[in-house]
Amino acid sequence: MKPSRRRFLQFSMGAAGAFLFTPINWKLMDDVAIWTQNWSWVPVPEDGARAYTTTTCRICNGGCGIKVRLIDGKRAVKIEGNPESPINRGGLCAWGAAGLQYLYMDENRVPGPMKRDRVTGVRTRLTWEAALELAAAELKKAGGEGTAIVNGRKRSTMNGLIRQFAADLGAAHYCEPCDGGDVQKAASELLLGRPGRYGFDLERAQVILSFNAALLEGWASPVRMMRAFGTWMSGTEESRARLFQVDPRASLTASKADTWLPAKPGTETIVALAMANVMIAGNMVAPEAAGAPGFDQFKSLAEAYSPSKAAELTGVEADQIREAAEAFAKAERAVALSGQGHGNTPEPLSLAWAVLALNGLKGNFNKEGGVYLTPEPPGLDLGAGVENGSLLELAKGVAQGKEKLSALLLFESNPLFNGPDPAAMAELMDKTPLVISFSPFWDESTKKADLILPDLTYLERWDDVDTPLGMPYQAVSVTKPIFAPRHKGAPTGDVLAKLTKALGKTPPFAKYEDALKARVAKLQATGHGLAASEEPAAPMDLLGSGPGKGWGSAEEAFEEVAATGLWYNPSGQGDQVTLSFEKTLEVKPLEPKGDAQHYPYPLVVFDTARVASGFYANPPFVTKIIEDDFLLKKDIFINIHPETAHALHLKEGSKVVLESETGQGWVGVHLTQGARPGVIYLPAGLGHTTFDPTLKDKGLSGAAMVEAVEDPHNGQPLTFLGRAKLRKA
Amino acid sequence: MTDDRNAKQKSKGGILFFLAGFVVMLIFGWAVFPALLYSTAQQPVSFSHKKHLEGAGMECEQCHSFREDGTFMGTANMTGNFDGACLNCHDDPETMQGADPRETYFLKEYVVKGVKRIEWKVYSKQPPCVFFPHAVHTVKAELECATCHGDMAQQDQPPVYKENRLSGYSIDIWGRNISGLTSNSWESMKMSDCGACHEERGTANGCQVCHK
Repeated sequence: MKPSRRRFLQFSMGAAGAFLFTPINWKLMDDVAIWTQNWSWVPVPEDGARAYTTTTCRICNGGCGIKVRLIDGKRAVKIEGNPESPINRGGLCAWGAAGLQYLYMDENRVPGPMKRDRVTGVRTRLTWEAALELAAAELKKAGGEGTAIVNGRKRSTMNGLIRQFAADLGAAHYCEPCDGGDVQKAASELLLGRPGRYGFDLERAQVILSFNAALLEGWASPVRMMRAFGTWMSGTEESRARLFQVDPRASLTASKADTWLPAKPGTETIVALAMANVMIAGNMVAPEAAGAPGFDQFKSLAEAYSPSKAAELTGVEADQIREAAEAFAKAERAVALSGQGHGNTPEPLSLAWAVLALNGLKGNFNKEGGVYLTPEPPGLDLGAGVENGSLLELAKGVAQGKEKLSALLLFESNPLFNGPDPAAMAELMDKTPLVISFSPFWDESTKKADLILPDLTYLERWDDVDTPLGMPYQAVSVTKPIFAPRHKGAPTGDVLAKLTKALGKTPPFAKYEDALKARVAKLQATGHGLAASEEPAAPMDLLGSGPGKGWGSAEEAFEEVAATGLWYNPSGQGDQVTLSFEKTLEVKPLEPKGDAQHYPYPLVVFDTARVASGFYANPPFVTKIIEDDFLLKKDIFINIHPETAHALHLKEGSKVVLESETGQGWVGVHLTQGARPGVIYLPAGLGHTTFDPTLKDKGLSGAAMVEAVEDPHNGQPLTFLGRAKLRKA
Repeated sequence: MTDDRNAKQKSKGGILFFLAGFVVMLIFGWAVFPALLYSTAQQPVSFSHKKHLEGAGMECEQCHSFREDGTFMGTANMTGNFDGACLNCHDDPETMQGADPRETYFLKEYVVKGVKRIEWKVYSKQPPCVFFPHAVHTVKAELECATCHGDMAQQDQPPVYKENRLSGYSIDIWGRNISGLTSNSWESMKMSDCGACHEERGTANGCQVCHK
């Protein structure tokens, strides 16, 4: 047999066939995959000594304890929930987990002090000395009477320092944007003669009536709410807690609730009064409420809203109202609460008042599973006498030429995006010759600022947060720097001290850390309170657990509180109050502003579980997980009922122009049975014009689409309800 | 007829060459390829687990234990804050602890010369993207060391270290058998082995459990 081409081919075919029965192919495939991982140019993070730093998340005011994993003390690689914090007990929300992106996303951070030329728009870097000198000179020139301060850090000890700075400056205008906690204060003053916030013992309640609060979508202290929900849903069908959600749309919370009471937007107060009606008519009122002064007045108000009458006005079935009211009244432990979305914007005062009155009728104040009238923990009492004014009023005054502003100072506040009324804010900023921003990020307002004195992110500075919204006991969470700052920012507390000095006054503290120490000393002086500890603690398990640690000295207390990230006082002692219905409010459904002829549809702007609503905008990781119902690529989606769509000849996915008196833009259409017919729902918090490409130019800003309704009872701007129309281009 | 016979003969010859190619490739794939794929090396010191445990009466934990912070120290070395550090016993080059010529070599090459570190080749080394805590597996889940590493106590001679020329990892990750088939849990250490064990025990098996 001589070799030939034919035989060679036969041999080769045999070899090729056998190749499939050798390990060569799959082994090489595996090895090549691993080989590619080890190319020298594939980035592999350096390994090093691992350690955890305990601190507090400051993305919202929820006060969650966190642990940051550090490599060699200089590289933060992961944020985890602190299991020792009774607020979040080891849990963490999406924002909290993505927190390192605030630290490391350089394109979103202001690298150091800068000034901007208004005409050319050119920015120049400054040294801190030059920046402070410039700021002091400009502020002197502006004078107190022409200066306005917007303070977005009101839940921190920074609040006192900023107030004190306003006092030292003699600033004529000082504004703290109103939030859910402020509405609580006003409601509590009306009903209990006590202008203070209150918390809810949600973990031990058996029936929960929630009015508009996005409990599972980021309200108040998001992780605590999720855990409370877990508690409610565990146990047998008979023994577990029941959640009733009054909501204008089938939000995530409403969908997960035992009963969804779909109220027409703006009529939630009437639902609450109808429930009071059921309780009063059925003799299910606590004796202390029935005997309270002015009860007859409240009774006659409630009597005007029988369940059937309320059903007509609100769209909620009368039986649902009865069922919820009876479940609430008959349960051993029940609580009612109200809120607007995440709690960063106010709900109508009448709603908070009526819901607090429901708790009064139930008689659950300072009782297990009820409402705790917890006093604020002692603070530094700085800036006494500084009056809080309305930013929107000021903007209107300036627009009309009644007021003149020479300087506007923004502390963690982005009015150009968050409003109220971003267009009015833009005009205000245009007409004010000097805008100073203290923001660490390139938010919309900071981009427009003339001078930026950038702060550091919450992972690089000292900070604290007072009792989170809805917390039934006092809690002060402390944030500390995990390592040296990554940029040339400086803590605003320290910057204010230097500015005060440059203006010829004496600052109360040379640096922020000292203010925090003084604060903790005040906490220690109460003789109460604990630091976060290794004992597993559900928020309410420790209630009434005695006088607390009783630290020997303020230094000792600060050391432990800073190390563990939390001081809290679960004594279970609430303010003792007497209920009074004498200041009964007049209640009307909330009417959106705008021409109903021209803009036929009510527009509800709502907070969602994955879009931030506060000062901290979404980091990329969170933006990536926004539901397709709200954002798909660059398009924002309105949610409307199929009937509404049918009437307008729209289909799922149609693109239309959403138009209101204040703005317009392209939106996609998403049809859902969770929307009320004839109402348009727009997710809030999108439509940024700055930040990294994952967030910039995505969707439409809800705040810009709504003309705020003035709350008839306290004058605060309500920004969740407007009017709009849909146009097919 | 003749043509027909010729054709048959030709086809017989064809099968022969086909089979020859088949067999040659099988031999190459199963015997030559593995030998080419791995480079071989000896451990720098021919350490005998058996001699240290049975002869010297040591305990495993003297060399393989947890540090104070809960991390695992891995292999022992010349010095360190643990009982089993080599120099704790073999500190005097003149004094033999046993009678093995390998100890003579160790004393001469390491102790006399004052070498600080033995560069052990680690059979179980994993890529840096894997987060594997020993404490969770041995303390919390109560796995035996031998489940993954085999019974080291009986080993008198360290196995030849074979390194994959492409991936750079030890042959013990894939398994000494090129087929990838194993009959004991300690014979391979691939991700699929981790996953199968997690699956079997019903523990968390998501990507982020190990790839943080």
